[in-house]
Amino acid sequence: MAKRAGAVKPLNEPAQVSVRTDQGGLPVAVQLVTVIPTLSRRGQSRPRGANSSQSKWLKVSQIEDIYEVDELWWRGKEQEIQRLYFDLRLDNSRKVTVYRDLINDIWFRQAD
Amino acid sequence: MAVTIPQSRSIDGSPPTVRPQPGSGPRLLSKPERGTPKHRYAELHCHSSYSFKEGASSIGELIARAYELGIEALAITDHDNLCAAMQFGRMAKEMGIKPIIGAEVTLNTGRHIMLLAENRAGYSNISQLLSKSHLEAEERSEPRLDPVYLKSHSEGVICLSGCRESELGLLVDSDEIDEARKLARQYRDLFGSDNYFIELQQNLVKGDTARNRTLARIASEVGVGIVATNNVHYHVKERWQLNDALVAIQHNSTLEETETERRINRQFYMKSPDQMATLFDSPVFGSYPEAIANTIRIAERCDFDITSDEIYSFPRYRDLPDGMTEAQYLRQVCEEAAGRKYGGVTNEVKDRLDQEFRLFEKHRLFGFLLYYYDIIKIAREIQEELGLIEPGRPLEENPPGRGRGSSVALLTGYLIGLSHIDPLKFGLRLQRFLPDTQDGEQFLLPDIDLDFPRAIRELLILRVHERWGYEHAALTGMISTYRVRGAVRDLGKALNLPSEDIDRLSKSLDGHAGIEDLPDEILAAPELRDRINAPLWTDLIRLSFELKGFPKYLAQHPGGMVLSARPLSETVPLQRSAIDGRFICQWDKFSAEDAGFVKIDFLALGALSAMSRSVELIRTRHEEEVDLSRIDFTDRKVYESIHQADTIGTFQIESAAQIQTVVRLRPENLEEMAWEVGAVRPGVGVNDGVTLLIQRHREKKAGLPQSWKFDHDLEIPALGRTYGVPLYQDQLGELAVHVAGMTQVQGEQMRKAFTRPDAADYIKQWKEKFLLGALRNGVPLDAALRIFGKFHGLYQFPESHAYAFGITAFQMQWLKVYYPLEYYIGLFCEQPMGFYNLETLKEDAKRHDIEVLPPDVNRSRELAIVDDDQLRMGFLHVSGIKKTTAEIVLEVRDKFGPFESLAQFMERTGLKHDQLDHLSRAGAFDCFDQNEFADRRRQRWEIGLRYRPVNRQVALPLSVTQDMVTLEEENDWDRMILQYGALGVHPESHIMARLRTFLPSDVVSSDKLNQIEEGASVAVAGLVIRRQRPNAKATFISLEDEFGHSPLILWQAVYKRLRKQAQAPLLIARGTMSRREGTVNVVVSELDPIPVEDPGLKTKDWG
Repeated sequence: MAKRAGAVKPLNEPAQVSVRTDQGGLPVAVQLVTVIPTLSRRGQSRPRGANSSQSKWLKVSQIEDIYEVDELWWRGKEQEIQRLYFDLRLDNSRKVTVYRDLINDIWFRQAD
Repeated sequence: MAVTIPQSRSIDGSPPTVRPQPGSGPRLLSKPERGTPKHRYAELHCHSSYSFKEGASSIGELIARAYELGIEALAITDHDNLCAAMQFGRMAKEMGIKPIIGAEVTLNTGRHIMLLAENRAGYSNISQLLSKSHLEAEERSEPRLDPVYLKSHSEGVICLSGCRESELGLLVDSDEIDEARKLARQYRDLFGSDNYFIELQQNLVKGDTARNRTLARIASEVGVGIVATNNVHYHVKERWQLNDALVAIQHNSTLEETETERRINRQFYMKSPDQMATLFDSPVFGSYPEAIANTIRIAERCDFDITSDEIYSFPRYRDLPDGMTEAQYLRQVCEEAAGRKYGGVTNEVKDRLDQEFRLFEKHRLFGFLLYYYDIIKIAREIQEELGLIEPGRPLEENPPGRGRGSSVALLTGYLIGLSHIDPLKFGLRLQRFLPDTQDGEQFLLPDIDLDFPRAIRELLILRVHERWGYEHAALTGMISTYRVRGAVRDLGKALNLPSEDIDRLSKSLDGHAGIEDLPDEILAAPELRDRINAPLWTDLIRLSFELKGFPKYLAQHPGGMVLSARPLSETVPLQRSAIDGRFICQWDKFSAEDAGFVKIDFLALGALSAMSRSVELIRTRHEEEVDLSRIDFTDRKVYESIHQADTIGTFQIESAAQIQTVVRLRPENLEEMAWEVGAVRPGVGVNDGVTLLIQRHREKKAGLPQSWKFDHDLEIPALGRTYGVPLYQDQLGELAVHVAGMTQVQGEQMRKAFTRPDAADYIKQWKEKFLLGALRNGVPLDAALRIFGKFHGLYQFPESHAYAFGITAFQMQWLKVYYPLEYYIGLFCEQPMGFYNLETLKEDAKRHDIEVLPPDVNRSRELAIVDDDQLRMGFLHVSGIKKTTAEIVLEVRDKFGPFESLAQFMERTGLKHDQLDHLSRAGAFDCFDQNEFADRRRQRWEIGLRYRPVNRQVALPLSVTQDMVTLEEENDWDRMILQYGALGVHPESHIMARLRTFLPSDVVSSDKLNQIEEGASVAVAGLVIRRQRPNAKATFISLEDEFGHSPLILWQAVYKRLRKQAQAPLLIARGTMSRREGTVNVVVSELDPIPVEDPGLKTKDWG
């Protein structure tokens, strides 16, 4: 959806994420990307493009819940929502929520 | 992991689903293959479309799907009602699925609990609880149950804790675990630990998993079981969008605006036992195999069968004279009346009464008939109170109502005042009403329908409630269902489509349009054509198909009442009607019939009201007592007027289709009047019955040899009297008896099977039975098939009903012939009724030398009166003038005498500006003007000058001459249009007279049609007074001009092409002349709207 002028910028937008699944389609590992800011000599952040990132596959130790959201079907395929959410506990004890966009078959991480 | 995701995109592992069917009425889909799941599961929480504006699948769809999935037992648990209980019980049993009756009940906290009937006592308790929730709720449409009643109504009830929105679920969600535990203990103590189960649901809603974990722990702690349910709201996943749309409709809002009310996902479809077992035994969702096993345990405990457990018993009469039995008392009443009617109990009367009483005894009907006797006596009291009859007349003389339907065949009915027809005189057969059953054969008593004048009926319903209480006498429910217009309007709003587009589309859908016509209708509208494939519009079309036939709400049947000896609420929930003082039961007539209820229909018949008024007027004006039951039913003059189609306004013989038939049939006695009344019914049109009947009748009258044969001689007893044409519904049952050797009850059951909404499931078995029986009787297969082809589900009158209406039609026409002024006054006073508006009736009156005069503030009363031997219209005929306003005018006039001026009228009455304006437009102030044609524009100017709103100073009758200006004279056209708007009538003239000089030269007036030859080209013009489509083949349009009527016929293809033009109020029609058996019609090829201002007269189309 095109952003409207003056609209409030949504925070915590979901970000695309890589997920490995088992044969049944359940997540078994998630690739988490960590952004590492590179600091200047004066301790200030550099322009965005200058940061580096690090990605790491983390195993899913437990699927704590699965739930589905189906919404906005009347707005057409571009805006329709069909998502299958997974609350995951990762190997490092960290909890993340990912969802599979069932329309485009793409995984996203729900920001904390 | 136990949970696996197949290649499809969802977690639920759903198998291929049945394709959603267009339309979802209460029919059972064709039987699918039965599923054979690995697990056993019963669905105990399922909403059908009777969870109004929420459930998105019909009962039939849910049952068929359950069967396909291998679900063993199914509970239908609609919100706060048992509307579908009987239908569900019957259909599920037929499908081989155990039906469990229950309901999701709304408590006074607004939260839900689930109640299931374990046995008869449990069912009765649920029914009573639902009654209380409806009858005691503050808002009629928001049932709320006080939980205090649960304890006294817990026997036989299994209670489930409810969905995620239940009290328990919400306490858990808000982490009030101690409170939740306390609540669970309360319910456990109320219902017993074996009868209260905590419900676990897993619809992939965020929070389900955690909630189930806590609920299971609480159940264990308080010592009650857990049970898995799926809170089903539709049978297949594809219906989730309809469910969303219905919720938006329920909240009178749009999909966008109901995010919090709608379900979060599409997981509320019916799942298979294996899917449910997986969802409740998973490392993610938790392992609760006990919850699945308990569904079967509960289902096995529920052994209440609503279709076979006796839930209703016929009423027994309580007010017997000392020492008399019901039979003795009824016989005494009948014999006393026979003395007055026949001069004594003749042998014929005795034989018929003996026959009837033997059958009453067999079917235990004495109490039932005595109740009727009481009802008629109450109606007589009302008749006397209203001054419609002089007090003290015997009940069977000028009875307050009159029977219709098969009950008219009862001599007992005639003698106790139930009917106005002597069944002995007309040879009416008992069998249809009271068949002689064989041993063990189930007897289904037909309804007894009684017509009353409106004023009597309204009071009668209230008095019957008062006399026996709503617990013993309540109105039958009626399910209002979605048709195309309603579907388009409601879904259009839910989808947030432009209201002007939806308005345009729904207005273009005529009374006969079906959902299947919707795409064509959109394509036919130039402004909408390009939307046909647009997003949202495709949703509108698809969802409309799905919504077709869905129940919208429970309404009250027009007059069907059920009577019961035991309190009705033990059998069916009761609720308040939208009309104060009336109570309805939650079953429609089909369910009431399945339960074996005694149902009485109190119907209001405008024709009776009009006749009653005419007779009273004759008495006061001519001092003549007219007893319509004793007029000469062979009167030639009356029949001749019917043959000449002089029947506008007369009950049953006034519509274009009826006139076509009556002119061709030319009835000459009451039997043939009954034919005429019976012929114009959809069921007779099947197989061209009307044409065949008329042809064969004319052939016989002309003394020609018979040109047709029966399909088999065994048809003769059933069809001989109507030339082989099944004219009446009774004859179909008789065919089954005589041709296929069925009993009378079976014959009637077979006929009725065709009329049910779920007919397809019955017809196959009846066909087999019919053909086998016919072959056994020696009927060749091809003849048997042809005879079977005469059965259909379309409406036909019972024979005695046609007699009853035929007699009423004759009586009314008799009044028209001999007392036309009183006849028209009756009609004008009882509007709305009949097929035509007042303008058409005025024109008809004019043709009978009766002038219709506009209202006059110094002469009129509330309704029409005789004024100098003409008809003077009343104040209530003026738009915007209500009874209270008319009373003010009359009161002031009676007190101070006639009004002398408009100023004085305004001062004395204090009427509002709009009312004064309408009275002026209607011509009610013309009396203040000395000119032949009053200057109404000047009147309205004066009203404007003098009028002061209510809270301002009172207007004094001072001169306003100085403020009057010279206004341009109001022209005839404006005067007419304004009068049409205020009165619906233009007494001075007719709109076509005003247009005549502007019409093309080839247009002929209606009085010239008779001079035009068969097949000649012809053009006519007129005001459309009625559109009618008695069958799919032809549409009739009646045009009216200042001379009479021009009947138009549009064959199907022509109507399709000219449908839009046909909606115009004034038309020029071109076509060819058709003359057939005395009828005159223009067979239309072209229609052109006359481009003038719409006079705004409402037509009573498509009825």
